[in-house]
Amino acid sequence: MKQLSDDRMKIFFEKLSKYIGTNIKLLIDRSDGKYCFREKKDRVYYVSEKVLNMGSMMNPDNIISIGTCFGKFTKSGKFRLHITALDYLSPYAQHKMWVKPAAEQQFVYGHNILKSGLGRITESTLQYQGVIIFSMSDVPLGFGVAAKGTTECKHTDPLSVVCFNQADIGEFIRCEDDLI
Amino acid sequence: MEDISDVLNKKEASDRASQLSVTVSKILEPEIDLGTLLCFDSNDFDTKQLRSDQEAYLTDETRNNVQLIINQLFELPMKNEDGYMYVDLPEPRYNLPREKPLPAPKALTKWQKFAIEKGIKKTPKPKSTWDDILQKWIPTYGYKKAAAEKDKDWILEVPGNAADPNVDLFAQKREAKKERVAKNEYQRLRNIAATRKIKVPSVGLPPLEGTLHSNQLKTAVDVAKISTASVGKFQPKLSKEVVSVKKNIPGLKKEKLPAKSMKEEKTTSLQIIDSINNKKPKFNLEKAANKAIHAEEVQRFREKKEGGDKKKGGGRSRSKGSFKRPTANTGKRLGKQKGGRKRR
Repeated sequence: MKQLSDDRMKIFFEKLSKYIGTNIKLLIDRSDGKYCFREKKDRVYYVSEKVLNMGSMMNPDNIISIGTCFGKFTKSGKFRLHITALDYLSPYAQHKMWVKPAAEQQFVYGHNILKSGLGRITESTLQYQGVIIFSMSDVPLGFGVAAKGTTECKHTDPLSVVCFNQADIGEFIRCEDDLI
Repeated sequence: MEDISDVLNKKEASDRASQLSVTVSKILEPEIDLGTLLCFDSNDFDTKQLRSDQEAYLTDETRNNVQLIINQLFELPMKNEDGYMYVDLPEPRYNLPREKPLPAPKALTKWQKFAIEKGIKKTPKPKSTWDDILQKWIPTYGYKKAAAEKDKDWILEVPGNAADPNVDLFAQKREAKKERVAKNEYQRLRNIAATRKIKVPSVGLPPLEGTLHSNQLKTAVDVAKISTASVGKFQPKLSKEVVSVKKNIPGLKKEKLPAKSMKEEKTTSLQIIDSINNKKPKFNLEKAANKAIHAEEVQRFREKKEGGDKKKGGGRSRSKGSFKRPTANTGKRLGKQKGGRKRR
């Protein structure tokens, strides 16, 4: 368990801010207890102080995971968010996309979202903005990157890609062993 | 009185020891290797005697066995030279275990390790190959190969896609060979260094022509900076330079930052978030255009709505001026007009 170095923290927060913008503050500045980000084996975990203290009792070699894994630093030093972070991203999402029930399965199987499957979209979403994907009944399904801005979305043909899939809840089954 | 009896007892014992018989009887014949003067006695110990007087029993047994060896020695043909009697020992049958531990296996080179990992097997090359041009067998390596190369390559073809046909191809070839040899030598030394665990400086710029990677340049700058008598303590700093020079230099230990308390960590992370959020937004043309388009759309929608509100009673209506009844094939065909209509 390491504290994140300043450089890494910056990279990490920059990535997070693409999805939840200034709401990262709410993750750190919580009223219900102290929470922090810890790094282990290039993976970043979101841990409460209570759990952290319990974890410090154990031999660090024996700890596989602690708290919630947000993602990992790649070998080239970039940060990649994992689907496990969805629970914390979805309530603070600034840009959302809602998927029609017919296209839900397509997305959950790891495919991009086409215009035909797009139910709703947050106004003023820009191209390449990080978005959280919801089903029409407001269940978070994953996150991705907007392939087209809101205004562009309205005018494109139904078969063009609207959102690139980055992570979806299907990964809990598909990538079981990678996620830990 | 006791003293005398003691002395007498001792004398008696020593006499008996000196008179011990030359013949030794054992239940199992001990194995004797005269070449190494070894004797293996595989008889069981007499446990009773061993327990009662261990030291005496063991010395007695040893004496008997040595006696057996000596008996066998005397059976060998004696030789007499200058008044000395001696025998020639036969070839030893028993292999003595080595005194020193086995030598460690030779360390693998970097390539050998890689080959094992990838399962690459060495394909044996033939010692010599037939050369069609020279019409003779040419060895794979050695002075004869070099001579053959010289014979063969007295002329070199300029490749069709050569940028500059006037380049000396012979010189180029020589240079390439030199490079290869130098590279091999470098790798050989590196392997030696790796096996002997010598630290090889990995610092400095590689002799490369053309552009270097930015990381290489950064490292070079960092190394140059501390390569002074004062280890870079008094070097002037640039305005936006990273303070910790140490971290990029290979071979130097990285500075381990002290762990922050929960509170400190929180403040620093909040600072970082602020710095990310406070970045001056760049002028985003797309965003501006989208905004304008969106505003226009909203305005149009509103106008439409207002317009619809005015004529709520009339239902669907068209403006009178623009209405035109369809002609339903009664119109005159104009044929091809000169110039044509404006196409959109």
